[in-house]
Amino acid sequence: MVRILCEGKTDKKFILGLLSHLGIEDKPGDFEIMGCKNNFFDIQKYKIIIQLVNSDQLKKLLFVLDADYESKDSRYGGYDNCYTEINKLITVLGLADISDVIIIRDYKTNTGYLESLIFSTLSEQQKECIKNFLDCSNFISKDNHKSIINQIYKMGYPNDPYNYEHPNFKELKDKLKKLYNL
Amino acid sequence: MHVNLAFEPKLIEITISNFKAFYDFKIEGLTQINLISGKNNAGKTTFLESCYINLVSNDIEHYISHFIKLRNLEFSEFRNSNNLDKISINSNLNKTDVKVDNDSIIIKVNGISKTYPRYEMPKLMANGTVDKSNINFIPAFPINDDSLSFLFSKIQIARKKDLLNKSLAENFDENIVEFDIILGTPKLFVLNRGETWVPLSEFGEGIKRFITIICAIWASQGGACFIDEIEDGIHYLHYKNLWKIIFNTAHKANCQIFASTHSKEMIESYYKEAKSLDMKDISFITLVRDKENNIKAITYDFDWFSHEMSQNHEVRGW
Repeated sequence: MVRILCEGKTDKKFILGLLSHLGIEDKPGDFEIMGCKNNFFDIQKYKIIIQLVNSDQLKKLLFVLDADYESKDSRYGGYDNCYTEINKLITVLGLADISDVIIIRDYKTNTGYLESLIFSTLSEQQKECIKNFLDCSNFISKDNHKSIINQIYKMGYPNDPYNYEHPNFKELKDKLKKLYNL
Repeated sequence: MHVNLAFEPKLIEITISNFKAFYDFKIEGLTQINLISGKNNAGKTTFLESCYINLVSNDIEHYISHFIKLRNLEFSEFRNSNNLDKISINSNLNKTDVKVDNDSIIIKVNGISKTYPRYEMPKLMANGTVDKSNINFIPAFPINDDSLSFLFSKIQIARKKDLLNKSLAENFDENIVEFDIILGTPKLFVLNRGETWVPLSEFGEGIKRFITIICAIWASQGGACFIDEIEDGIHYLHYKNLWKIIFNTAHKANCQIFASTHSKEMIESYYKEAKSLDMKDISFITLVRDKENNIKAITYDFDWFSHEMSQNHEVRGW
């Protein structure tokens, strides 16, 4: 048994799609939706996971966190902070031997979240169009920004929403393959 | 006579050592209603038996009656039958040990120890059973009429027969209006079958199980009721009603419940009904085996159980 710890339902849905692309079906029970990034760093949230690990019921964990931005959260924001802090916590929890971590981000800037990663797989021309739109709009909060990118993506690519073969998805695909021993 | 049932002690934690498949087992966080799940051979029945033995054994006499005599203390009860390690079942209520060596059997209950020569074992077995009447165990296989009569007499003594009849009409069939034991035979009074008494044996096992459970809870007023494989014989559409009755009856009877199940639908109904009735004093326990094949418990309180169900996690054991 494995468990993928992710932030929200959108992350779960995306990863399920990617798993399906990799030929791994019917795994909705393998996810732990943490609710928000701060919950990843709350030791109390791991009470049952630790019991399951200690009784050999969970053999591998994959932590999937958004990098976000250091400017908005000096402790956990940005790739380096997030990576360092989550690994510290995993060690404190005694889960290092069975855990793997991926920080979801735009690989050019090492910042952002799932939507930034998806956005980074678009062509330069498409990116420019969306960027211009966002710059001209007043959608400045993180959640609104995410929703807008999602919605634009769905409208632009209704039949084939994600280019799973894009190199920017490779790290996540590799981590999932390793998790499921592919 | 006014009896205050509110302060009856409950089983909260228990350790089991060297009893059957249990080597070094510990569980905490038991609540008023406890549902236990796990794969086949995960130790669910033995867990229920251990809790039962511990609860009834507040002195050596009861321990002998309910463990040594009823189980004949076969060597298979010991986890390691070559070594005959001491069997210990300890809880927040009672502490019990038994050790057998070449010549003697040593029993210790709540700090008081007695040594019996091995040749006295048959004599111990022959002693009368001491009834611990408000702690009852319903096994997985169908209960016989004598046992049902015994439990029914308890509901009559408690003067709760009307509640049983109301439950039958409301949850099984509105035409079934009364249960009774008539000339030693369990019967139901049925409106749409000529308004007559019909032997219970003419109905399915489900209704008998349902009656047994309700009677057993009332028979366990202020004590505890153990129900092995609770889903046996009951159609899944009745699970929700069954839990509703168990929650309400256990609350009124101040009875601690321990039930085991294999059924996913039974677990879901347990959760949904607990949530619907705002019953927070419940636990869900999964028994699993670790890589050394030792039995371990994963214990969920209401909030964690709710969390696991909402995340669609498998909770029956892997």
